[in-house]
Amino acid sequence: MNSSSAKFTPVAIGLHWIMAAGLVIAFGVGQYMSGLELSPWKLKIYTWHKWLGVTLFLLVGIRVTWRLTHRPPALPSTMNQRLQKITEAAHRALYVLMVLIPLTGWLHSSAAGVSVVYFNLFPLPNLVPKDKALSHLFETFHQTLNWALLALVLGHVAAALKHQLIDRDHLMARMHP
Amino acid sequence: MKNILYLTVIALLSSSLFFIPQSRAEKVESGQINFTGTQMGATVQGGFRQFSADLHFDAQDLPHSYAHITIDLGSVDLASEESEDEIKGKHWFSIQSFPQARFDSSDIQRVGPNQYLVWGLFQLKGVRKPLRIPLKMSYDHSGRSAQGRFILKRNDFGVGDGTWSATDTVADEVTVDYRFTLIP
Repeated sequence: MNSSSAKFTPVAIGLHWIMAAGLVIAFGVGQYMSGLELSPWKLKIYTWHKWLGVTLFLLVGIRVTWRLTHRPPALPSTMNQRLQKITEAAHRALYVLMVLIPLTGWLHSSAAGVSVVYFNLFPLPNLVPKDKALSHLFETFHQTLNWALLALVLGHVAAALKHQLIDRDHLMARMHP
Repeated sequence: MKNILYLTVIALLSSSLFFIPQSRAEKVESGQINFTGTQMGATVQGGFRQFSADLHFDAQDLPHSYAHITIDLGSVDLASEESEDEIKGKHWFSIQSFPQARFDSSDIQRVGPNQYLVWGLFQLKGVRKPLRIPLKMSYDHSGRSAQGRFILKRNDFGVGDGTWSATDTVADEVTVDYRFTLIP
């Protein structure tokens, strides 16, 4: 009980919620834009999606650095070893996906021959030369990894709610802004 | 037998050198025509897979040098079927009505060492406009190459009309890069 009453650092809490909001928006926009007919509006919204993706990529960089240099509060001792292992693996997978998803988006855009200029100010290098087959491959990766992220996030939310409503161990308070 | 072969080769070579008038048009060994557009401040690369180039270049005889280039617009490569379908459509190239773009030179002017300006008429989507293309010749052991870069304004040719003609999303200016390797 005492371990679960420890909070995450304010930086970790801030990054968690800002990225959560950003990921939901980027995912929603991504779903919406891919079904649009090609138009100036579609190009605009793709560009905004990329800017948001670059922002999340930068944030996850800070977040991983923070996570590696700051020990998070321990999982409640009421959780058995196996469940703790699964939880750790799931959190690790969330980090991996938060890195890979923007990266595959950037690779997809590069392979499509479309550069990314962050906020129309900072040009990012194209990671690979223009190549249609490669572009399709990274697009598939980007989409598939997003579905994996969605599944993990749903599991993450379900687990948090289980702690809150069934275990009643107030675990969610550790991440309360 | 070997001697006969050698003789034949020598005879063929000498005849081509001394007896057959040299054909003026060089064969283009390889070439590239690419373009770079800008959408929302980001560059978009494209190119054409099929074009024909009838080129003759003689630095000592510019009046008889020429370039006739025909581009199959349907061969456009944008690394995206969606973008390619769009650009072939009626708002952009409209390839059903205008399958090709053409450039025909009328005058070549030397502006510096191995640097030239090629003047001519460019035809795209039914619009003909005079165009001035910079040309740089370079020579190395593998042959001669001609290359250059210039800017076209897509709205001059009605490329990207209707909702696309606004230039805040897709810029008006498109940079064209070309390079041809010539077999002398």
